[in-house]
Amino acid sequence: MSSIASLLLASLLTLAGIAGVRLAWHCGRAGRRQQQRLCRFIGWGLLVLSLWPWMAFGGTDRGVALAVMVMMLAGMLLVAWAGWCAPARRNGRNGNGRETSLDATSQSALGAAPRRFLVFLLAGPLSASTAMLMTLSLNGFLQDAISAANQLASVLLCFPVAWMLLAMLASYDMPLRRRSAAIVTLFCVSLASSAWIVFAGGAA
Amino acid sequence: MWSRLPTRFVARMLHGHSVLGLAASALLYILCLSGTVMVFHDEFARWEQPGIPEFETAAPHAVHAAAENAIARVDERPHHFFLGLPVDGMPRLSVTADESSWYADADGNLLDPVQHDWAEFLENLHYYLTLPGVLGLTVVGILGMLMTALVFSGVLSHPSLFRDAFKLRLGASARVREADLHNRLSVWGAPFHLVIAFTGGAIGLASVVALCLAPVFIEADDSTAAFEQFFEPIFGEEIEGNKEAAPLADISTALENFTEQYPGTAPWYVSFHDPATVGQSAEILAKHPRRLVYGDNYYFDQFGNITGNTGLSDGAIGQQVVASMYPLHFGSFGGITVKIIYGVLGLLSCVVVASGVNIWLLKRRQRGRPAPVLERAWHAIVWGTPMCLAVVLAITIIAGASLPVSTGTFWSSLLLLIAVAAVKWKHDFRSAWSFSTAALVLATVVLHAASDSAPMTFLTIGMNIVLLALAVVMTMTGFVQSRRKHQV
Repeated sequence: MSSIASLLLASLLTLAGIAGVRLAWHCGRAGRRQQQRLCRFIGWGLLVLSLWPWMAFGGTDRGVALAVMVMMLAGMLLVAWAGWCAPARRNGRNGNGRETSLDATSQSALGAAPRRFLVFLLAGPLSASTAMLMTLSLNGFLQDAISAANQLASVLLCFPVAWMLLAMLASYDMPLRRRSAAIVTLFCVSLASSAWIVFAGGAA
Repeated sequence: MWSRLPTRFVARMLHGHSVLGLAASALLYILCLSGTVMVFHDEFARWEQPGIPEFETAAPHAVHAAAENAIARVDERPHHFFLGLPVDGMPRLSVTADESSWYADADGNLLDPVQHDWAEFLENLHYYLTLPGVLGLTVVGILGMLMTALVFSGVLSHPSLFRDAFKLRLGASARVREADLHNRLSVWGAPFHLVIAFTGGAIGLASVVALCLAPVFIEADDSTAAFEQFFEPIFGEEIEGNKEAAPLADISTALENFTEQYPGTAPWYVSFHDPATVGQSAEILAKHPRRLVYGDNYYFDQFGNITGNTGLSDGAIGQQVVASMYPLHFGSFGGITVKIIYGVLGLLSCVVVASGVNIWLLKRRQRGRPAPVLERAWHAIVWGTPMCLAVVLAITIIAGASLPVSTGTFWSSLLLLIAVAAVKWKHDFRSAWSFSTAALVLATVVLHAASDSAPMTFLTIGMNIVLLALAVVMTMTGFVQSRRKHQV
């Protein structure tokens, strides 16, 4: 298939897929469950199918990236169209969706400022240190298990992922004691693991 | 299934999302905006210095001649030395010897020094938030990590993700409008936000990982040597060799051999370690147009024979993944079309950040705890940052301001705007800032176009049109804002 033909087919399938998903959404709002399921299946199916001509046009990994970009843009265009067609403002209640509410269990005897500082310490330095110790442990465990390049890539990706998850845990609205206990426990386990790696394992 | 997420879980995750979002918002907004502008780094560099000859390919002998001319020009033999070959998006030949850089013509004769004060400022702002070296990279990396956390926590605290997928009530109340904007743009843009946040975080935090792990796992003379060796499994070794003088490796033959052996690739850089010495090492960095990897390094000997490659395009999966992170982050994998899409998505990510804080401010107002000073300070960040960028654009393009001057100007003007907005919180300065941004951009374009050094190339005209359009948009925004005073 020529490059232009692949691009045309890929674009067509992507737009049709997004249109299918949009139609499924519309059927869902109208209460037509069977039609919603069918449209959803066809829509997502077309989107998956569109990956092949995208890969033919742009290369394997690059084609997938191009496909995802076009899917995002198509969806955003439909949202923009919805915004354009939305009715003008009426006077009414403000507010929509869920409120951010503090669970009673999460309120503590600490004042706001010390509490925020503790959360900062948990999400910041303590989570970062724990993530680094996890990364160090991972590096030690992977040594001689996989190639040096794959080991390094795993380690470079592990640190931001680990810190991200720990930061989410640190800011999750459950009692501060429980969050702190969880992160401190992970810190201690990672520290022990790292110490074993450094003093008894494969470190230089 | 997504709509059945437990209510308590959603509320708790949303709280965490708010905490992380508010902590990161100001710097994250500056990072998103500067990143959006940085997508067009090459275009700005060409627009800044428009009089340089441009051509699609450079003859191999011309590349070698440019290298010889540069080495002859510097007082000391450089340690790091590279030539930038003409490629799609940057069709110019350049030579860099340590800290000095020049453009060259199609015959390899050196021309003006490379001078991109505006593009250099943008780089410094986005890569380092203008902080020194590893500290700056780390801070930016942390923001990338926080943004990744925001994407995940945002999705997990959005049970009506599918139910509201195509809803955008721009005509509703301010809070509903901001919530819909925030939710729709963040959900539909989630793949983009996740990719740029995670790749930015991983790239930015890589130095910290190296600093901590290298001394533990690598046997080296000192921690600096260990740090330098840390990335070798992915990016290849840098070998220190005999520094005795020798002829420069044959770049011309190397490029000819390379083109013959690797026809589907595009040579991008020719780089040397200790050029024109017995121990010199040389390589060609070549783009792979149908891959996400930024390229691969192909080594050549002093006679121009290609002797191997690093493996970024065909080596271990880890190498290919890491090498793919850079083009995914910069939007440099699909020419100007992908750059424009990245620019649009980048602007929308700024809207996501801004609307997130707007929602929090509106909720405070509705709960009877308004924060007018914070609101005005946030306006100053959202609408003042473009104005401060426009100020730097003006002083770098018109007056050739150096990096320290542009950095100082940017931060001092932004802090001044925030301070004025906070003190004079009863006044709404948004329209004034938007009009000022428009005026600064217009003045810069007109004066730059009128200067003798700005020949009217296709790129120059295109950039001028885009910047003028930006000025028009900011003017219209200013008018809308002046009508909507006292609303968020």
